[in-house]
Amino acid sequence: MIARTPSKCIFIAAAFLLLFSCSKSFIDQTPQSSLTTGNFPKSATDAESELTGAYDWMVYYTNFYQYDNFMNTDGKSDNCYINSDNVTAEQPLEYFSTVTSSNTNVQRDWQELYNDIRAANAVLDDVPNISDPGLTSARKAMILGEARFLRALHYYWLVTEWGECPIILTVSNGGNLYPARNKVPEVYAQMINDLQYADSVLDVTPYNGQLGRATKGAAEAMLAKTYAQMGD
Amino acid sequence: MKKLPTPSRSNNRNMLFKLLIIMKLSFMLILLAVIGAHAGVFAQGSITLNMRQVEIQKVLNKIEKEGEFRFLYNYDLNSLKRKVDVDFNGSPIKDVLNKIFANTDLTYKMLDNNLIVVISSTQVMQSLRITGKVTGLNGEALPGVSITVKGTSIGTLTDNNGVYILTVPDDAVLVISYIGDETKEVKVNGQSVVDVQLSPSTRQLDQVVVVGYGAQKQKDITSAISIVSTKDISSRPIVSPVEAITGKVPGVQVTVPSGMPGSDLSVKIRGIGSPNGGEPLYVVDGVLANDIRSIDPNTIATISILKDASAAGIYGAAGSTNGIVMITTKQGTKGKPRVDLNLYTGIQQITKKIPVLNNQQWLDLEAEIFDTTQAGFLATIPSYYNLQTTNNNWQDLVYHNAMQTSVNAGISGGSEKGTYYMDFGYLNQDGIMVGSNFKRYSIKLSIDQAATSWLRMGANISFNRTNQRTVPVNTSTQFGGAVISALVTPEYIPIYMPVGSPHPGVYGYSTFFSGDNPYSDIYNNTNNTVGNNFLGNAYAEISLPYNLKLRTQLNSVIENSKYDYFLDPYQSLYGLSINGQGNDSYSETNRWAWDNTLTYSKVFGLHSINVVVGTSALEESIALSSSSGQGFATSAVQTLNAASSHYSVSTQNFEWSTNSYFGRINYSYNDKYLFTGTFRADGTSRVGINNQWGTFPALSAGWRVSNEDFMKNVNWVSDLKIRAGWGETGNLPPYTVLYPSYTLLSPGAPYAYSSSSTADPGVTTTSQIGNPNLKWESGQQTNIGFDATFLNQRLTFSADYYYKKVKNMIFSQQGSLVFGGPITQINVPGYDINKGLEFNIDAAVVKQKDFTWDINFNISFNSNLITNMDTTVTSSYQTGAITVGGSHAPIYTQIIKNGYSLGTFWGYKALGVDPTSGNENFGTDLENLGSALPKYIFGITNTFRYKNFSLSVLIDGVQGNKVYNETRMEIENLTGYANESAAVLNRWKAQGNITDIPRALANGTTNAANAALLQSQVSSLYVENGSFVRMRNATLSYQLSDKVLKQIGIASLRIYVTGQNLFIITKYKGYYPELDSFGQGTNNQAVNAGQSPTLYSIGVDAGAYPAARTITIGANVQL
Repeated sequence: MIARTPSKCIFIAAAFLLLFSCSKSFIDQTPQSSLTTGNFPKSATDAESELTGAYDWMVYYTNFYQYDNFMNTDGKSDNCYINSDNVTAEQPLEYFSTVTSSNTNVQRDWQELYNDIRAANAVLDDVPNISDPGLTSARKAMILGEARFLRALHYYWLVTEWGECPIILTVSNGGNLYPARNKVPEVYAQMINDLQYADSVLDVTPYNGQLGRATKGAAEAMLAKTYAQMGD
Repeated sequence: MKKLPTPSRSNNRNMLFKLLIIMKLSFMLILLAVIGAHAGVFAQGSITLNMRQVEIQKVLNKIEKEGEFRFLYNYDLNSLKRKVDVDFNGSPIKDVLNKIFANTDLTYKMLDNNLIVVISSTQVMQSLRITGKVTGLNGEALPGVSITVKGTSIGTLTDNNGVYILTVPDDAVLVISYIGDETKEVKVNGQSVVDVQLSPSTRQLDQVVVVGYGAQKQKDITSAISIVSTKDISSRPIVSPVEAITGKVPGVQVTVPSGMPGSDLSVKIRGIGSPNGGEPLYVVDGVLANDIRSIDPNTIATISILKDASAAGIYGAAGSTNGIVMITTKQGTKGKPRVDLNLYTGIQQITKKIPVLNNQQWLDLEAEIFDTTQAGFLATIPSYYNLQTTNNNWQDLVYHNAMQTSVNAGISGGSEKGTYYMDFGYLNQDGIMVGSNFKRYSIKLSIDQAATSWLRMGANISFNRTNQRTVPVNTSTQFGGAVISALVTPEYIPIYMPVGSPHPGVYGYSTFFSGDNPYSDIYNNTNNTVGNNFLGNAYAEISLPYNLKLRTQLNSVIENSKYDYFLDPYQSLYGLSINGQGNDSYSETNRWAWDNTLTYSKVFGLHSINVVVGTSALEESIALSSSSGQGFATSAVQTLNAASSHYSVSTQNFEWSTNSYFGRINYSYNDKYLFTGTFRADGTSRVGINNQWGTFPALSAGWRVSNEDFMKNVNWVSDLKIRAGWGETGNLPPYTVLYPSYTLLSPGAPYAYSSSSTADPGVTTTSQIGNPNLKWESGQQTNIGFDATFLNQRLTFSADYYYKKVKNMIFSQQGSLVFGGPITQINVPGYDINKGLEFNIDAAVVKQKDFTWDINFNISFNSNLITNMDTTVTSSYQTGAITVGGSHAPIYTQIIKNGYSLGTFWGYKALGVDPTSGNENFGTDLENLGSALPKYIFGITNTFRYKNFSLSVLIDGVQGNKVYNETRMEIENLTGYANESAAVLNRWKAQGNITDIPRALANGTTNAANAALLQSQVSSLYVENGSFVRMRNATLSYQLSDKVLKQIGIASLRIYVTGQNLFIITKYKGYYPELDSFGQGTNNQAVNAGQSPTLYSIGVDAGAYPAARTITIGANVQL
């Protein structure tokens, strides 16, 4: 028979209500059908894939490193002649004309460099949180070093070709969707910080013998180039 | 029921016998009552009796033994011991009784079936066994009516024939109350038969209203809750349950955005509480649902609308700032099984057709457009088209008179311990456009059973299977929209291409533009959707001592839908070009929830308190899959195994969950001062992981002024209550954004670090940047109102003022270029404000036995404003994108911008046709062209009853809203080769013409650029007044009299004829001002999950399926 004292009643009632006191994880849902920061990266191989993505983006998904960077720099000088046929985007560069803000190449390159930076930032956001024992702390540091090298490289071109530019160090930038430009010295300081870190953790020989990766030498060379370019 | 007093010991010998008799009598009484106590005619009788100095009781025994009469009396009546002399010879029973009861306090009542009740006229607390029948206005038996003795706990319910039996003190006052009817008090006055006729009350204060996790008497409610009369549901061709709300309550606008059979309706409660949309939450028997397509309207018992935050607050973030529609379904009633049949059949037709050009008029127009002669233009038309002999009136071919038939059969019954209800339903609705059809097969089961004195268990299950064949609408003919195709296809286009044409036998098309005739849009493909919709719960309720009650309830909503599309490989040019196509998509949403509540209620003297606390856990998973293929060799096999190319397969899963703790306290003092406080804490996966938990408090208070001493003498006020409340509710992010915290990644192309190494897989970010700080939209609402009833409840009046302010509006925002292209979900500072006034009047104008006239009138005003929106990110958001004439570039009709309401049309003002050039002049800047949200809406229901006839007429209206008639951009653009509206006959033709239709302009001339604007820019030319007044419903019914019913042996029969949409008065030039191409689907999980977010838009008619006028005849039968 049912309890007959107030205390028992309340106890039963309370127990009943608490029967389903959900664990905190009940309301933590991660996407199942899309790859997101909620379910990736979790393992050592995931970390490598994300880093590969940062290299990959720079090579496959941009015009800047393949072509435009050349147009924007040597192409504008006497060092070479570009037989261009794109009247609005390329000829102004070739003829030393004023580059307007509506020049599609200029906008494209700016956006692409920041996409490259986002890919590096994704590595830097996520890889430190990986707890897979298969990812040694040494390799973890190297992955971060390679990503920071890439990020510094992208900022190098931003600061040398555009001057002041926003420093974005995480994918979401803390929710600030319209960041202001940073001063040029701030950008250089950030690059030096990244490159010094890369220098401190990277090996002389490329990881896994893959020659396309950033190495200690690359970091130091880039650091030297940055100091030379800073002009302070 | 009270037992009769124990017989005295002196009668010991007879006791058992008497008891048996009494039991027999009681049994008989019940039985007779159940099978219809009025069946027999009272016998006149003739008594022959000669006895000396015998007790009255013995005399009665003697008469009983004769076999003709039975007596019912209390053995303790002293007068029965009095000795009398009797000498009767063939006297009528009345004379006999009058004689022997003379000079005693005894009196008697004759009941049907020769049952005679003997009672004392003097004894004060005489117990009396009474019976009676409770009937409704039309004499129909009312089952489940509560009969209680005032001031006691004695009570019972009427059985299925409306009959009750109750033992009461003979001076008792019976309180008869029934949902939807007035509460009546009747004095017993020693009568043993107390029949009661109830009439529907316009507002009954003791009516129990379902609120969140409990119920409250209407008189105790302190928040804004409207109760919808559901009595007419079974006598109107209502397919979707929410249609029953139309025009019935203030502050609630129900629209039919599409006339397509089986399509969802749209409900807006107190404006639009979010830039992402405005549909309410549905709670069906405690089950939280996004839609109610599982529910057959015939199985609905009550609908109440929780409009303000103090009512909806107990549902917290799920409660939504857009209000809640609470529905309870029918439950079983105690007593003999009762069978209800509801059937109707009827015909639907289009309300209006739009005049278009005939072949000659079209030719005339084309010659002007192309700056040539008619003969010259005619020469460009291929010879297999014949303008002389082919005159297809496409609207006549496409819109037909369509049948609609519905059958519902329900059975209910039960005992003191448990009840059951079961209903089967069938609906078959053809669309007014050929080729569209909706069928629904539904079943509903409810059981409720007391297992022990302290445990009750039960379940409610609604299930249906639907078959829907749709036709493609809401788009231009180039994308297969049949509504626009029926307007723009010239009359000379044949149904099938003739021999001699390049593709004989294919559905007719124009060689000039890429669009087929409407038959092709409808018949060259199949669009079949099969749905299985389940909504149910199972519960257990445990009564504990100390007025505690525990309830645990498991809820489930499962909806799946399978959509099959097949494009015939040989019937259209497009079909030929890809050799047919098949799509097969499947979706399933599975939601379960577990609610546990503990309720405590107690009355301490003048204080009355009710407390509910509870927990709830809810999880929903959405699974989508789709596959498609092309290259069909034949249309004989339409499944995808017959496809030979372009295979595509996709599956996706989504999941979200919410965990909640909630509570409510209701307190009232002396029925004068009322207080309600609610609280809810919700944790959900659908907002940012850093802001998962939120709290939603609400408070409200009421003062029943009429119960104050100083109102005692104010007789014309029956009741007066002033209410005020404040509270917070939330909106979860839209279904398009189920995981806002996370950044989307995608496997990129493999990358080789050096020429010698193999390629490694890479992963990079893509379209969405996560925002772990995203919050729900939160709304604060204040409500002030009063309810007053006058003149003995003949007149009731309610008024409410509300102010609803929603902040943290969620927008999908693209960052600056440094973020590349991805979007992120953000809370934009600023407010979406809805404020308004609502009035409701119910009046029983005439209340006589044979004639009654009741009026309900409600009107509500709402104004919406977006204000203080942070414009540093963006100054405005565009929405309501349309594509005109097959153009792929969308143009936006609406804007969300500071200082304007949601639904504001944004475009160029048309300044009229220049009489000199014939060109339409436009303003130079984009500007406000008006809002699609109405300024006020109203509804009037008049119900007349004369004897057994009744007539109910519902007229409703919407005023002050604009509709964007995109269809006119297709049929009044004065360019191209399509057919156009007859309105263009008034076009400018020569210098000096004063007209509002510009000239038809030659292609390639300088004027052509101006003409192109007619089709390519949003302008006030197409923003029309969408106000209307319509006769939404008129029902004439006849209730068969009891006398006739007895002869044919059924309990109740009502036959009726109903017209829906009998007329509409509007200036709108399209088919129907309520149509809205964007009006559907904001709540549909399976449709929206994983899609790109779109902001709210409303009032754009881009070839929406027209509305129908429906006339049905039907019957409500009760066995």
